[in-house]
Amino acid sequence: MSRYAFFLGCTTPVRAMNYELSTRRVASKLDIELVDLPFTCCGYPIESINRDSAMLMSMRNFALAESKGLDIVTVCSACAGALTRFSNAFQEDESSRNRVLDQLKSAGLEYKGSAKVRHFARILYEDVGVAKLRETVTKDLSGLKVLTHYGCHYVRPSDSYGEFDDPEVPHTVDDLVEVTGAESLDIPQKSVCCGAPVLSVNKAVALSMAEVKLQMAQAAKVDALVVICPFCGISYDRGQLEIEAEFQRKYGIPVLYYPQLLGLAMGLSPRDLGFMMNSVKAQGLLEKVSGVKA
Amino acid sequence: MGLPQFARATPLHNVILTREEFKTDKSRKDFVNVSEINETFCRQVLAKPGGERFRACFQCGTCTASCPVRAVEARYNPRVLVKMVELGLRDRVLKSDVLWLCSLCYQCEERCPEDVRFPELMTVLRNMAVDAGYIHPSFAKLAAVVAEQGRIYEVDDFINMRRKQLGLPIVSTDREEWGKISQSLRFGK
Repeated sequence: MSRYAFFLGCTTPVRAMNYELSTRRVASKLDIELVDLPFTCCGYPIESINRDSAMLMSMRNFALAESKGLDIVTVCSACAGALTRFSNAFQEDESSRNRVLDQLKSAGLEYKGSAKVRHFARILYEDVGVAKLRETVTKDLSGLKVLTHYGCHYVRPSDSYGEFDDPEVPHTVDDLVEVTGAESLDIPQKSVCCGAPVLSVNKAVALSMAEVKLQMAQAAKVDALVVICPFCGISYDRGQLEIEAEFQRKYGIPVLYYPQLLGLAMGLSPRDLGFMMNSVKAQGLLEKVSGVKA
Repeated sequence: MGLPQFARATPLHNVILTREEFKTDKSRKDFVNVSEINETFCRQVLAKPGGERFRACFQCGTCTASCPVRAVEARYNPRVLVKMVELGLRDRVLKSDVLWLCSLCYQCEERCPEDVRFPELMTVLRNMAVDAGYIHPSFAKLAAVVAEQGRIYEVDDFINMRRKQLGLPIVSTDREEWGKISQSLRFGK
């Protein structure tokens, strides 16, 4: 049994409840305890406005996790990125550290610098491991062809992450997918940007960026895109409907959060994994997975 | 002799104008008027965390070739933005809407042979733009929600009701706790 402070971020609990639900189900199957704490924004969206403020926001969350003696696990790649980069800056830059410590102190908080953060997918890969995950699979998903999508901040900037995966040709999520028996296609640009960060600035640009991957997925005739970040999920799932309407094209490619795929392989029901909340309906995929009633 | 009024710079037209506009526009916006040059801008950028590396840029264009925004939007060009900062075109850079198009995906940073760290430079420039009063409206809106709620989306009763139905825990921000942190936050000058 391992315990982590569960950092949901802002987007997942509001706009990607299927991701949250499936993550909790899968974690409990794997004996990973996810502890809910009153976390606030990771700082990522505020970095563009004021970096110092963003760093303070980030470190507040670390202080909270440390006070419970827990490391942080997050399901959002953007949160993982911001928390990791600010945590590194806290360790490396003395003047920033002192400023943050002062600000935390005036809010009645302290932080010694012990809490770590990792993405949930990374914990599955590094701590649980592919071999042990395979033992939890009761329903082989062979026959499914999927395309993985890493999300920028899961692997980049690679020097912040100690280069645990290759930033140009990442493989960890593909390995996790293959645990289920599904085939993960070897197509370049797995870590291309989904466009979500630009959505509020220029929607047309953001949708065009998302469409790049959808075109690849369509050309490869995949059963689903598999993502590990709520922003990527929203871009490709809900965004896909907008792209279809805006550009008069048809894709119909289901977008699954990785725990949804893993959960199917563990024999969990589509309902338990929040499939009803996927915008692009995965009916075809669920029927293809033998024995799973849509 | 004195300085010429216009200095021909590295092509800036992709940032300022689209190719079509460039062909027809006679306003010479792709030229740098020396009166536009702010001599201290460069030093200000270099002094900020994240801005230290940009002078190493030798304009190879790997960033632009790697950029997923550039792939769909010709007006956006990271290489040119670096050049504009180097030239000291402070107002053009800080007022430009293309400043807010970077998706901070870090692809260029990963590939840059000079370790320029463009996304970090972008953060420096955006912070400076905000301080100069040029915040993008979508970010201003976001900052207002964060200052109050501690998160970028408000979690209202409807959301929490839906969460309850799904067996998910209620999400809420303790306003008093958040207030202690938010009083130290600065979202522009």
